[in-house]
Amino acid sequence: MWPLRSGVSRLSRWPPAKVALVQCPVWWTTDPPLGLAQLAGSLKHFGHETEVFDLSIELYRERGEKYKNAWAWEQFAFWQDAAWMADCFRDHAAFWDRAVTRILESDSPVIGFAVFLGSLRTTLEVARRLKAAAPDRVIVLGGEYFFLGGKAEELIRHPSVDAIVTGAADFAFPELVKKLQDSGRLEPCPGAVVKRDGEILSGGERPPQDSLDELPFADYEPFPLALYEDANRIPMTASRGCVRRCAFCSTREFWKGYSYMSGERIYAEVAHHAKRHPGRRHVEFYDITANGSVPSLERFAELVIEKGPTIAWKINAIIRPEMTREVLDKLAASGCTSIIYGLESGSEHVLKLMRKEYGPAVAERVLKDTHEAGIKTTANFMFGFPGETDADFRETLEFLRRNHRWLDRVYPSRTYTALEEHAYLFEHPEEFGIKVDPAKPTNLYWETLDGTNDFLVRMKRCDEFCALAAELGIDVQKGLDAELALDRQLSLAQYHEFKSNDLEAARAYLAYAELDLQNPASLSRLKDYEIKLAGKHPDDVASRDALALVRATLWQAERESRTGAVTDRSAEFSGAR
Amino acid sequence: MIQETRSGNERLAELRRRQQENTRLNGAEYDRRQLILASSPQHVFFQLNAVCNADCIFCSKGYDYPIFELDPYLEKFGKEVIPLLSRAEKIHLTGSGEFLGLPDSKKILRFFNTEFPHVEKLFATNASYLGPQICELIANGGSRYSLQISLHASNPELNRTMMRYDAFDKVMRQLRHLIELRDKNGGNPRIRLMFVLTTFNIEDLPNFVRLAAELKADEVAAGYFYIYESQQKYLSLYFKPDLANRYIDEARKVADELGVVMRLPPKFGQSPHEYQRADCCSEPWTQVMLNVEGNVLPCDVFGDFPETLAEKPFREIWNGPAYRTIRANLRESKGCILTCPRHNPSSVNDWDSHVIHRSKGDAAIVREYNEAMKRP
Repeated sequence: MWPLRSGVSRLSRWPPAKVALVQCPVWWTTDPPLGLAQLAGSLKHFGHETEVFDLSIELYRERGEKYKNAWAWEQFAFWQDAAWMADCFRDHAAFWDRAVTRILESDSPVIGFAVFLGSLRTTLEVARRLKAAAPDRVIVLGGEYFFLGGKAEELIRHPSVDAIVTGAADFAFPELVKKLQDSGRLEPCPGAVVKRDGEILSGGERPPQDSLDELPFADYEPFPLALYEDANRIPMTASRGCVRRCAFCSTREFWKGYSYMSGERIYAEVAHHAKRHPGRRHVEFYDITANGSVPSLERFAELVIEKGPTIAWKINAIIRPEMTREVLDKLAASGCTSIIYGLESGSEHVLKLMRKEYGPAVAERVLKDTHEAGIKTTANFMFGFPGETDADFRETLEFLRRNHRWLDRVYPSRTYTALEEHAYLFEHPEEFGIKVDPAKPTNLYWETLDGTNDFLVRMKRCDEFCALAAELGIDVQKGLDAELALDRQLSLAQYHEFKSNDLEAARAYLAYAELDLQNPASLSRLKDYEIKLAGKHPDDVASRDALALVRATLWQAERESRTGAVTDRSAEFSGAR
Repeated sequence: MIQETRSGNERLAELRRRQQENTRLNGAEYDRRQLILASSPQHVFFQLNAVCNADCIFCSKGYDYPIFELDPYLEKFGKEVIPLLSRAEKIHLTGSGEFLGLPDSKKILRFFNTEFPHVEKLFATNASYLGPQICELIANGGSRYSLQISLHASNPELNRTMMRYDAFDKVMRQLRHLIELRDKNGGNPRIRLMFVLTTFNIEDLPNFVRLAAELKADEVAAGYFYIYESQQKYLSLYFKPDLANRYIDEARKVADELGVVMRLPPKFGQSPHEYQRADCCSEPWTQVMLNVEGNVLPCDVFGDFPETLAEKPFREIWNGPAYRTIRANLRESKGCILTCPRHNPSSVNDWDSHVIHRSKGDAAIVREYNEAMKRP
């Protein structure tokens, strides 16, 4: 370890400059966390040794029965619930103790955490335990969570946090480590804020990366690859941000425009991974907009066709006229097996409101060409974008009827239309006729001033859309690791909770418990509603009935938990995962 | 348990209040198709197996069932079963054989009268054991009963042929006595006369209605005979549809003339409305069957059901994974309803409406069908 002159750490040894990288739950289980792999690659490139602790996948593999479904997407909110989290730490005490010991035993003076909203609480708890056991270790947080909105300024004050990388960490984090190594103390650098002797020091903003060609390759070697569910997949990203300015999306704000890799650079990294991990033949591109530069994508495809390796790959893409049949044929020939388009609506009017730069006619042509090129064609849809009338929604249904032959799958948005922080829609609600209540801010449960569009209207449209898609033989999917029925039920419960409709919220949580009786988070909510409903007037028959049912449900859950007769959700919902 | 110190009327009122609350809630929970219920079933089928003194020609027989004994049963399962029966709207005393012929029958009736005076009890009997004491317990025991009297004939000779015992005159005397008690007692018990329609007795149906009118029975119910074994096919009216229709019409006419409430099955050639398959079945929400050994069953035609009061409390079974799975399937019109013999009724014109295939393999069913189709 390196000696520090002063500050949080008094490190006693010099290099090797080892960094522990930690992913706390919850993150998904399909493949390794890409952000952490990119960081591992950058640190390696700059000569640092890394050790990765993906505690999310490790805990997933060791989780108790009660937490069987806790990694599903719709459970995300529970990881932010303090009481639920306390239970999770208590129920897996040995795991957490072991994890902290292992991280400390890695002998890394710097410990970096990849943070998302879902992993924030677990991260802070693990950081607290690490600091308590070894105050000299430097705790650094990073991730998109800190890019905007003052989150870094807030969290740097946390007693267990020493530094936060506030933007892309590819070069900022290695620089932070290097400065620490050189000077023996935390020094701010562009793109990072540090706390030294209680003082908060900002290095200012780091200029955005215009080209991604200089980025080191992601490094998957330190990851426990055998633990991830998809043994064939390597995650990758070849671009950041987006070329579009869709009103509902904040991607451009996070990444300040669009930056991307050349076709040659994409190819080089793909070939590198194919060589290092010969058993993994599918490249999953997680870019929001992989076709922001069609020539780059086309060039990458040409190189794969020309030189190999034989791989399959999948992208998220925008609808654009440049996605011609010729381009799509080339992508298919190079192994592109699946494209997910952010289509969102089949109505010209709604697409304009969303600031999409295409109309339904272009979308129809691109979907048809993609499907006919032999590429699995998926489209995302949103519901109840402000300004979407019932007639507009009917146009989307008609669009689906007209084009169902070209659509292999649809992803109906599980939030219908969310007010994404920093997106244009979020920043300008009045322009879209959205009612604003400063006392009760909400991203999900907004409604329009004219009263025609609220969460229940959007949910109903989504239900109708899903029913039609299923009737037309289109695969209706969740898009993320979630069970649609559970997700819908939880959304409804949380909506009623937000609206303070105690009875409806209790009923929705009861319906959720019917689907997953052992879910500790929904049971915890039901315990709250047991108290609330017990306080209602005895002549309120509906509340009385709900209370009786809450009690019966809690009793049954407790009983089955004791006897081990736990409902296996995966058996009830075949094909859910 | 309701405190013993309360007066009888207060106790009865409290029992009724709890029962009504449970019935209301149970109906509402079925309407919402909940998987977990706060209510208990409003109908409880309670099996009381006994030996039968008759030997009806149409009976499926069932003498291998364990015989019911009250005290050992209560000792084993009373703690679970008594509260359940107390909240029920109706208790169906069912099972194989003649319940009133059990040595314990008077004790059983007294027990039901004392514990569940507010619950309607229903049972079938051939009325041969309806002596004065039993009649008193039924009519004047402070409780409500509905009796289904198995007669199947309006005269001693035919009754002897149908039930293969000689008790018609005695039954008539006892029945008249019970009906007298009923009339003095505000209509308790309700009396329904049963007539199983076969080729042997169909021509007697109009006279049976006349007998019911003369006796002042509350109701007459007739239904087609089910073939359990292929040898019984000669009894089935499936092969004599015109004869059946003629006497059903005539019985209806007589019943209308005499003002008898009558339930008749559909005539041949007529498509009964029950021919439509149901979307759901309320039974896993609103009823339960309990047998002598403590086994719990959703209904009488459900297959293997691995739940017993010998292993866990009723409440845990009622909302446990097995019941939840049945209910979850039913609310999507899936599961047992797809193959349920009661919810997939063939038309009266179809062979399947007249046969019980339970416990038979496909090959046996085909063999029996081919055999039966050789018209008698």
